[in-house]
Amino acid sequence: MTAARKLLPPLALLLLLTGCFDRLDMEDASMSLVAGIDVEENGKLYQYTSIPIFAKNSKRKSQSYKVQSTSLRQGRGKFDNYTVGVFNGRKIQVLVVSKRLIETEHAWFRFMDVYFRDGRNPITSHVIVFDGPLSQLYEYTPTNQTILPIALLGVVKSTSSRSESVKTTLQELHTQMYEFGQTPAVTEVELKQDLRVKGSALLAHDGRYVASLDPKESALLLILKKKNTRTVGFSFEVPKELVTDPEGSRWISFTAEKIKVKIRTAVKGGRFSFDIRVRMAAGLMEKQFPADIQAEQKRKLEAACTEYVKKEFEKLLDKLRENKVDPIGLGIYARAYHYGDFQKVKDHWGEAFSEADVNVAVDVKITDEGAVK
Amino acid sequence: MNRYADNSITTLQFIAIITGTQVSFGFIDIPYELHEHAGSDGWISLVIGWLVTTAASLVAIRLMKGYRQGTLLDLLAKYGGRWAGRAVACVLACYFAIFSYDGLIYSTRVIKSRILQETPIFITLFLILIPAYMVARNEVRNIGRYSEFALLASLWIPFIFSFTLRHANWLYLLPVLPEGWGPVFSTVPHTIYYFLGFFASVFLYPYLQKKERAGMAIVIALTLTLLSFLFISIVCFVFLSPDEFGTIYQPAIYLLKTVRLPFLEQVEGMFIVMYLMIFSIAWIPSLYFFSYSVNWTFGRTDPRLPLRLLIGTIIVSSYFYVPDYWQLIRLNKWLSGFGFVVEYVLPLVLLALLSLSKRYRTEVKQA
Repeated sequence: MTAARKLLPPLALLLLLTGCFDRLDMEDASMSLVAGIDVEENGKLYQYTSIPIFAKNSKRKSQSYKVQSTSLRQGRGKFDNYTVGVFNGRKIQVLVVSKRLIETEHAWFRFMDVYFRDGRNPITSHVIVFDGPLSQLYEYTPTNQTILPIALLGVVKSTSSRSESVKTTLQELHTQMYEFGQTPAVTEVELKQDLRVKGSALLAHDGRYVASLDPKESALLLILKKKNTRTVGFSFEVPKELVTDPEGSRWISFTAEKIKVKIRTAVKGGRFSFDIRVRMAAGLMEKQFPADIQAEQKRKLEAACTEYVKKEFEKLLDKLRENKVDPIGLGIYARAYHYGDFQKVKDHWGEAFSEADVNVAVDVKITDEGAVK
Repeated sequence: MNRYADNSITTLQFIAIITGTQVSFGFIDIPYELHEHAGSDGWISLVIGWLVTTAASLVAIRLMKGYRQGTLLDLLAKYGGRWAGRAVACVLACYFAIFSYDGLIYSTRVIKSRILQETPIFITLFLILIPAYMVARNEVRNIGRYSEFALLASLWIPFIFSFTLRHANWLYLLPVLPEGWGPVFSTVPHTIYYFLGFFASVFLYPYLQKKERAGMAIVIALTLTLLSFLFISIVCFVFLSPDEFGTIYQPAIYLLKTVRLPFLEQVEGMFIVMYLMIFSIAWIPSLYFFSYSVNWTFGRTDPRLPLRLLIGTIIVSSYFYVPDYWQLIRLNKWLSGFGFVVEYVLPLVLLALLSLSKRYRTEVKQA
């Protein structure tokens, strides 16, 4: 009795408390899953969003909106005027920026500030560059009736699992934007017949668009970044000496496994030089010409593969240096092993990288011939 | 006399109170602090800070070894008179009141910015302080048990951080000492703030079941603190590029934001909520030590009245005024200085005075 009496006043006080102010019921929320930023010819910034519709009898599965606003936060308010529930971006899966935006608006990364500053926003959303006006993307209905975010995530995930494009989340982009020894790279998507991944878009240190890599080059980039966890496929034509019928098909395909990359750095007279050694085990997948893969022949075939892969790497590295971008992050190696020299060039690492010596040594070992001879 | 025997705590509970008080919000803040001053070599400063703190804590234990029947205040009363004890008790009451206030405001600020953005701070504070009061109004044994439980229940934390290691780039730790030892040594004072709390041993000493193990226990407690700080610092150092480090507050929470589990979104929100238990060891024992010091000054024993007064003041004042982020940082800096005087310097001075007075007494006796 006395205990109950003692408890009564504090319990009565509890009634006065208002409870949690942040409560948000599901039916009152409208969640944006794909946020987009585009700049139009008039130089004005537009924001796009796609919200899934959960109502059963609705014909459309998602609804897209477009508003004009220079600040993402202000744009949220404008979206709120359209949507039935409280609009919020806490579940954003994909962030799309148009190619025009990153070509014209160099400091576009500042628009992402709201995702980092507001503690409740996610930073695991995928960042994608769309080659074309965003209105095209948002009006597009995937043929198989999935909603846009699922379709976008699907193409990004499937290509990145085969190492055909980089996969960059908002947090990774943040690291790449701030890191002096590396330049950013993000997935590039286009709409041709259907949604498809075009490869990777390379950005300069300030976020400006510089060049694109096709899926093949992206795979090589991922190898050098030591980011590919799965296998990478190569297909090429072997030199004529290796085949009995020089006029016939000379195509060969293999998948590389157990890829080991070693990167060594050195400085000679203020110039950086990088020694990259790539070792991989190849499993043959396809061989369109008859050849007995034994002793001498095997060695020749391995040499041909090595030569081909080496050329591909050299082409990629030349392309990167020509564009003065370093998406591999070789600058991180330079800083780790040659701190003093790196500090001198860190503000224009892209330039320093373009003047650097890069040597690639490749070693391909054929370990598996497949089920037929 | 019975008071201590009836409420004795085990060595593990002793370790849990001290480690918990130290680790609390240091775990979330220390990587940023270290990196700001010493770059990726901050972990070396941490080890030096640990060495200094271990020395200071052993001094405190040495001080208490001379008098096994009571806390530091009883010891002072015996050798220096009741008023010397009262003076120190007042200083300590202030110190622990500010210490717990600082911890409380810091934690509510974290909750406000990460989870409950629209809820007023005084409500969060009120909700946090109800269980705090319920634990702190008891005797040392209950506080020891609570801390032990909180520490053991938080052992999952390192595992959740292992998810972030797939982003790790160990090259970020290189080069070691690019600017020499200067920044490393000048960062050591900044680590002091995160080691504050070991002074609790001068209150806990008489309660210890096995007093001969006190020295070992405090070294274990400090080493646990060091290991958890080293762990989170290195995980953050290899995760965040050194060039982006300065742009992100509370890197430990930022890291967890990148963890995606198929069954749970916003892992960092769960982490903060669960971590509140560790946070709470920053203020629950301090609240108790505060009420102990106040009671000792006035010769009372019931800890509830001073606790109610302090908690009531904190809640009511938070309705009108809560320090903002920058004021909180200034408070931390100030508390760090205050703490250095109380926890590092004071035991040394008292030990010196005590041995002097003992020598004087034996000389008088021999004469």
